[in-house]
Amino acid sequence: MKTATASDEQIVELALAGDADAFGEIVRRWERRIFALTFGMLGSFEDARDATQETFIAAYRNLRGFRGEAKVSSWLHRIAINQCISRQRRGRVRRESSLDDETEKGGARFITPAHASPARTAERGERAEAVRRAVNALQPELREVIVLKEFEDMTFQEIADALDVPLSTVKSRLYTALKQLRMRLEVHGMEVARK
Amino acid sequence: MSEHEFNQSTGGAKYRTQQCDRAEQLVAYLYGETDPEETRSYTEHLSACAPCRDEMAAFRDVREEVRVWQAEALRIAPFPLNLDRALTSDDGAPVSDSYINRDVARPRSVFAALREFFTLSPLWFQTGTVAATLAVCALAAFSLARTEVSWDNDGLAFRTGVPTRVITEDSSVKGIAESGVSQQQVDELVAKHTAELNVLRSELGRKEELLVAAQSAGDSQPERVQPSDASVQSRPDRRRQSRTLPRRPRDEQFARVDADDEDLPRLSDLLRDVH
Repeated sequence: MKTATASDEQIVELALAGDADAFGEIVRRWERRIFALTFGMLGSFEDARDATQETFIAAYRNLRGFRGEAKVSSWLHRIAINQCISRQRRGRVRRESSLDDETEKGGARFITPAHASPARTAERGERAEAVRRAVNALQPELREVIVLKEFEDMTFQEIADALDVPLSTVKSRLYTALKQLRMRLEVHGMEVARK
Repeated sequence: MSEHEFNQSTGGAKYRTQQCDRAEQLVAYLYGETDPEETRSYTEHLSACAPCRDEMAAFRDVREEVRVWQAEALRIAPFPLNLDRALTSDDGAPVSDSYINRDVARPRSVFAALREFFTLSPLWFQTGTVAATLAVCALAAFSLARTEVSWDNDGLAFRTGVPTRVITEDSSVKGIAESGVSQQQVDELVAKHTAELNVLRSELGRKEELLVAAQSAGDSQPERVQPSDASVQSRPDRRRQSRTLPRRPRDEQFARVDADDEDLPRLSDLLRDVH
């Protein structure tokens, strides 16, 4: 069976059967989305990269624990979320300070294409930074639903499965998260307008 | 900024006066996860409810900003992440060979557990542990280097290579092995002088007995005192004089015994003579 055309679940079965290359296909398929998830949760490229690696390593080591009841994608997302929460609890990610560090070290990362005007570039960079700060300031349970929805484009039901919470909880958390983001971004807009 | 600060700085009532209790429907409508009936129903509601309409528009703006940020982040993300190295075990074998074919997960080593414990410990604990370890290492190094630390008027001084102090024997007194005398000869000498010592002791005992006998005889026949100047002495004084005169003071007796012991030759002298 060619892994390129196989489903995620079939690839996991191949990996369990001893196909050493099978899991590499899982990594290639999901690394961007898992990275996007960890980046949204952690707000730092370095931490997101480490968390993504840890996610796939943890998944690989626990392949036998995958019971096939959920989709591989939900399983990977659940592991990634746990990795992010674990890192945050261990204090390796200092929410605001990491954002400050990121701003100092990599603020230019949000620079828009070179043809944009300097004023426009600065505005976009500042706005992106404000969004990132706003997302990272959310409580973890709110941040994970907004990241899974906006970054992963998961359905409410998929998020509920990944987080093991009721469907109505996903919706209410999402509403609260959007409300808080709106408040923070409007505050930022007002601060910018006052300057 | 806290929620309370938000409400103060932004006129929080603006965000808390949502008249409709249809938050979940709003979110489902926003993300297009409503069935046709729910879509129709909520569309009608939006046309009649300005707060919900404003909130819907604001949420769409928020989503747009989040998507822009996400797209920018993914655009600059370092893909592929080259996880091959991370997915390789310590001995270089693929993780699949190391872990997948095992029925039981590899137990965590004690070192790994300690390392995680140390990592999770507070900073003061980590600092203290490092300081204590350095102190122990320094003491061990000082001990191995035989370092002598002194503090005097010149300040703190370290001196390495201090030789170990050895208690030397008095060269004037040779040991039995070095004197060339056999153990039998030593035993004979000891026996001989022990016998002499016993003779002296028995003689001393006889003298003691004679002395006691003489004293008792003196007490039973008191010396007659002629009437003279001594008669002016009071009776207690005379009694004291009659008692003390014939007796040798006890300290003097012991001093004599000690003197007798002093007369005994020492073992070292005997050994020297024999040699």
